Amino acid sequence: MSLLSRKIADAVSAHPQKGALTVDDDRYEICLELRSADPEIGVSFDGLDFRALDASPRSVETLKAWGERLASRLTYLMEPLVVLEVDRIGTEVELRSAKPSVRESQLRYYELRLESSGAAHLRRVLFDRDTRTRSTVPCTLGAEALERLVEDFTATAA
Amino acid sequence: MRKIESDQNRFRQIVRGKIKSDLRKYITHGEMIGKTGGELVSIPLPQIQIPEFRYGQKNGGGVGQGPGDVGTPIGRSGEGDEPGAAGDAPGQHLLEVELTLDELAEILGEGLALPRIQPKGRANIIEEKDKYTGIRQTGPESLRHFKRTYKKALRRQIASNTYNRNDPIVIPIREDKLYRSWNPIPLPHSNAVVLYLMDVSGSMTDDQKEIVRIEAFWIDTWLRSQYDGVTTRYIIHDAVAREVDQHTFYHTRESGGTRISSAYQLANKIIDAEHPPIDWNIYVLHFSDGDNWGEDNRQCVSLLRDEILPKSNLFGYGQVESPYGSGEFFRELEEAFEDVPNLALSEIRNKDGIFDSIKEFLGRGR
Repeated sequence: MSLLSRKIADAVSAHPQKGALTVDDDRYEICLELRSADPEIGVSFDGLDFRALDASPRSVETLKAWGERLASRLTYLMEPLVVLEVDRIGTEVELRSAKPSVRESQLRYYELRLESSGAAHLRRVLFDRDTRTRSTVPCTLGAEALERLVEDFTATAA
Repeated sequence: MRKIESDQNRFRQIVRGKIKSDLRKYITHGEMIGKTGGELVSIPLPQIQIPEFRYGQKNGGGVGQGPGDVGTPIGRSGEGDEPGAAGDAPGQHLLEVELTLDELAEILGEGLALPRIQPKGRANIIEEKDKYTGIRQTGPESLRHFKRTYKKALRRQIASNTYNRNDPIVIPIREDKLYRSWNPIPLPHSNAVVLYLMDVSGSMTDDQKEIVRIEAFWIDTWLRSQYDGVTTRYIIHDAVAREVDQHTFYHTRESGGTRISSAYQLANKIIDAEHPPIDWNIYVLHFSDGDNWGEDNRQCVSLLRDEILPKSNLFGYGQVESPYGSGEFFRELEEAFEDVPNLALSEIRNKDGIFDSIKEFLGRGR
């Protein structure tokens, strides 16, 4: 277990309040926009922002390789992820759920953006076919899954 | 008109009526597009009866002959009680009728109540080119047909016995001289250009492209029926745009991000360089899932407002729904442009949405 994933586990164990929960080590920082947290059950958060503290620019190939490593490891989320778009101009890579979950007239999927600064932003998106709108909905993860997620971010970003 | 011709016309009217009543189905299903051969389209009509001979009343109601009383079943008792095995003969074929693209466009126009387009620019001018197709006995010396004149003079001299084989001099006189004549041939002049733009980024799957292919076929068919010549250009884009041929347009998938402005810039460049709006009727039709990246929407709106819309008869944006739903670009355009007569927006959720989308694009008569 990495230092960062241990820190996030400790932070969740301390019954944090709703709001931003930030932990860091000497290389990376993780910020969760918490909705609710329970050490026994897990957490619900609006988004997860991962940031490399060195902020040296990454090439689009590096980001793509990072995206592929993440996609191969993040198999415990609701849907597996795939690298969907590689923007060579903006130096960004976007991953999404390979197949969104469909419930009645609603689609739900993960969206993960990797930026050249080494930052990553994970969101869960809902598309409502009735209202034709997209919105961000909370991600819900068990405590162990959250630790594993943080572990995977730090392990693949190296 | 011969009887067979009136019967044929009546049959064609029945076919047209059948296609028109099922137009939505024919538009939605793309298989007929694959059956276009040159100017003809082959359409399967499953529920139409082929004309056949029927005996009139005169020969009806005859009396049968043979053994048996009235009401006795035909055939021996006990026959035909066993269940039959599965047949191995081919099933009944669908009747396929062939229509010209012009007829198809007419049916589309009637079915969707499309107004006819009022072309602008040089739309009504058909270029004429002189072609030397005949021979006359008068004309300028510069157009004298030397070979024919020589032959005619030779024939005359032989016929009048003035031709000397040992001294083969042929001197044409005025009656021998033949001149080239010309007829003006009208040439169709390309006066409309359709620029098809399509997002081929990672989120656009083959299903979305099929929708675009079907819609583009019908739009093309209609526009070609309205103009003497239509030129089509194809642009694909993800984060960068490039012009491609038709096959590449429908069969390319890129993994790049989506920057719609790249396609608008290229379309504008092509219009400026090759299709000046004063001479051309310009149609720009763009299809995307609306998942545009970053701040690109603002640039798209400004390109449309300042460059493309003032130059185009019609700008149509069709937003097809991808497996991830529909992006925000449609709403951005809706908010930025209110009641712009040459801007048509359409959300195409699935193949069933193609019918209404075509009506939205072409229903403006522009």
